[in-house]
Amino acid sequence: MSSRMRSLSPAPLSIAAIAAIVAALGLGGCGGSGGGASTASGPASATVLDGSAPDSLDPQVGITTTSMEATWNVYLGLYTYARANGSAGTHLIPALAAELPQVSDKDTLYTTTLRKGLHFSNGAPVKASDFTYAIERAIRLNWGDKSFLTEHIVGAEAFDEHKASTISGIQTDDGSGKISIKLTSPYGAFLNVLAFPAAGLVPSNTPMKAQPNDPPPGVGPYEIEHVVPGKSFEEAINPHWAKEAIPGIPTPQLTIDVKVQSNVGTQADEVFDGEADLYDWNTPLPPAALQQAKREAEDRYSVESVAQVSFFFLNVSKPPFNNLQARQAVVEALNRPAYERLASGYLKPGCYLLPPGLIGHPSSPCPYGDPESTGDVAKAKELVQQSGTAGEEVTVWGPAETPHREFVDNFAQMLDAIGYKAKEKVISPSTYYGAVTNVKTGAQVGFAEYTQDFPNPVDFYQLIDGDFIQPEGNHDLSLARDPVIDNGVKELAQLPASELPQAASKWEALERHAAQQAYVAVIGYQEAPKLTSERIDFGGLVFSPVYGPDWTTLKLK
Amino acid sequence: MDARAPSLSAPIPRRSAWRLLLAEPTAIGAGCVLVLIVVLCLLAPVYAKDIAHTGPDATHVTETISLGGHPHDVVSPTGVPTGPTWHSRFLLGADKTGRDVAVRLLYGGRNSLEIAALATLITMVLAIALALLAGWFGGFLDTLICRLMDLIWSYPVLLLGVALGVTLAIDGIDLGFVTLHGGSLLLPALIIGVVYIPYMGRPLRARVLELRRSEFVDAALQQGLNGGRVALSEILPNLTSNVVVFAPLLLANAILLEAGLSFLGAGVQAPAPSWGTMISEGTQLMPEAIHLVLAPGLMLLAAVVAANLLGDTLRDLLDPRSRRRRVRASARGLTLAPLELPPPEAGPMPPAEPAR
Repeated sequence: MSSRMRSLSPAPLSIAAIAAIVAALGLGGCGGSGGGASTASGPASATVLDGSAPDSLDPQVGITTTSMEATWNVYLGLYTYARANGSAGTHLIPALAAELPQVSDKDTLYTTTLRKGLHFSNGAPVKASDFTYAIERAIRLNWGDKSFLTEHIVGAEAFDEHKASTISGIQTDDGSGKISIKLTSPYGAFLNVLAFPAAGLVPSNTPMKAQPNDPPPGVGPYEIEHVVPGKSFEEAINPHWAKEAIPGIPTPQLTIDVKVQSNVGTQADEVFDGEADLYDWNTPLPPAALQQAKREAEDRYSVESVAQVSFFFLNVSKPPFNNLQARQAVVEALNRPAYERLASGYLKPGCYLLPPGLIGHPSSPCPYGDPESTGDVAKAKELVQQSGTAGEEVTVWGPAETPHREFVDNFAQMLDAIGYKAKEKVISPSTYYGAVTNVKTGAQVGFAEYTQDFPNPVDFYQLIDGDFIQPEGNHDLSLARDPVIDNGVKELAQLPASELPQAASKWEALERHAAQQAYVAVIGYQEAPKLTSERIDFGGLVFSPVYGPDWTTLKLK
Repeated sequence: MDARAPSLSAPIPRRSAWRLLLAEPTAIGAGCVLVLIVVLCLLAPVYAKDIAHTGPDATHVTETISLGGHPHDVVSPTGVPTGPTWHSRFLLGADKTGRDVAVRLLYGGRNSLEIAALATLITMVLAIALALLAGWFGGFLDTLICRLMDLIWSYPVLLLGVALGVTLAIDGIDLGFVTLHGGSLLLPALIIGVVYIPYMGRPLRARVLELRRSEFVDAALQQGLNGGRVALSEILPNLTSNVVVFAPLLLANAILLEAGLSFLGAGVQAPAPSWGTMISEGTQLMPEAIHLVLAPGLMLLAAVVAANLLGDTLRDLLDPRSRRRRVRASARGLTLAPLELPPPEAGPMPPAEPAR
């Protein structure tokens, strides 16, 4: 889960000061200014800002949102997401595969064929066996979400454990381009797994070691060049792309200079001043910039929904939250509008685990309290009294970054108000998720946020599914083991993505049950800023609900 | 030279030192500022309960206050807290979670000063004990203690403090006979107290070595007194003036280090306030809510400058070399430049006097 946790904290002052000095000395990376004038030798460029550097630009290693945002247009896999705003952007379309797969053998055998005449960005032809190599490489390089592969593809676990030299469940034919993948059991979200950049094809002669500074060739509109670790990199238009002509994937007009700028204030200033073209959507605008955006940049600023949920987990394995009334009290007392303000407005209050827009998000009212209200402390106090847990000590965990630290302060204060004795344990964000996802830590209550791996309800349900409890890297932080949820998820997880709309009512029923059991106290869903420079066609820039702004749709006015 | 002025080569009797101190307007001013800050911080609960009507941790994010007859958000919808109201509620404004900055400033001051005072005490006790052991017994024990102090001294104080603070912030420390939880104020006090031991311990050890060779110590030993008793009755009292000079300087450094550690998240743990944590939280909202940094910053500045001025004046009065410089400068009609803190081995060394 931590892999997709997005940092919201602005840079500490010291880092900001250093960044400012470095920038003043003209050493702040080689991204260049956002002037982006068309040159005689190539297309115009746009400067995109990132608040933090991608963890890796190697597709089979990168796991953070900044990494996937950069690589999803460089390393296409068999399938990808439609380049569209809103829920249309969650639809899967064939990318390097010629069509959507044929699923047979009780939904465990996926068969498809590669498009003809594909080439990597270095000109080498694409072979079906490159797909096997990409999956094997992701496993060997310990990609953070490799369990999606090892748990579902026949023979992938044996390959991971070095008991096999290849993955027996993947069969390819380089001559015909046919690819078949055998799953251990039906898994409806498997096409989403194939749409990860980590499943993007790379040549079979790519070294079996991470290549973050010299990423391998891929098939996609862009190729990555000139990587300056931690500072900048460039996405140039793939010279072979025009030949591929994959329907649904735009041909880019601008090369992209990506520059890391950790100071959010400077980031915003650079976009307002036209020195850069796109603000990092992972970082909320600081208050001053937010006011400036609303005042001066109304036509190039908007707030976009992202599939993310922010919540406090309530550990049901120990008092007081092994008591339903105690958990209900917490949810009743939540002042969600306060969290919205603490997040500078970038949080939409809500009570369900699944974010709005995702199939399964109920339209019915919340079982406990109104998300728009400031919380019913009196009722919560009564519930705490009735539960017999009043006066118990509760330790609230949280990461020491804005606004999560403030979330924890507010939550602890609320626990005090309803009758508990709350203490806070706010620790470094770099160690926080490692600590609370370790069951031995025994975290009683804590803040967490989860950004989807892919747009499927099953991805969010690992947060309260007892089958996902594990000693380290645990996803079910509440340690909830509810047969209704565990069995429900097991059944619904088998449905292919194409049948999700028909299963919406079942997911909604599960959502209502989960909300009534209050295993997690959901506070809301994060939203993201979309801010561009004046010269960019703001309306034409697609904001994918999965990977954020689609750089292939960046164009000048 | 005034006939009543104490001899430069002789120790200053304590009463004379006190009179000299009272004659120094700088020292008086600095002392008054320190006392004022301490008294204000001690009155934090009274201020919180009877004037501000809110606690240091109470959040008021979605509440409104009346300013000039108009309702005003404590925290705006975009997350900007109100600035100083100059009224009893939110006198110095609110922070991002709608907490009263003035209340937290006073409670934070209590925490900062408590930690600094405790850390100074820990440093003094341990430094004196180690200096006596090393200087009196010498040999292997001296070497061991000196190398231990070198080891601590070789790490930058702030880095060492951060490393210890971050490590201990999660699980605290369990020494068997004493357990400190991660959020305990004793933890930063202990960390600061330990990292400053060489700062005081090394000059004190040098002083003990010097005293060890004094005639009055030889005389005491020849009278048949045992070594431990001589160390406590003859050496220890002669360290008093050194310790008195070091105390306010250590206090100032401890206040600063506590603020630094808390700023970096390795000192006082949330939600407890300290000036360092308040500045850290405030930097997130610069420049929209500059009061969040200014208020604790000015308090920190006042406390540290006052403690340093007091320490410098004390050193000038009690250190004969400083006094000699002062007299020469006065004779030439010069103004003394501010003195640098002594390096570890060159602490203030008033001449020895036999214990009376």
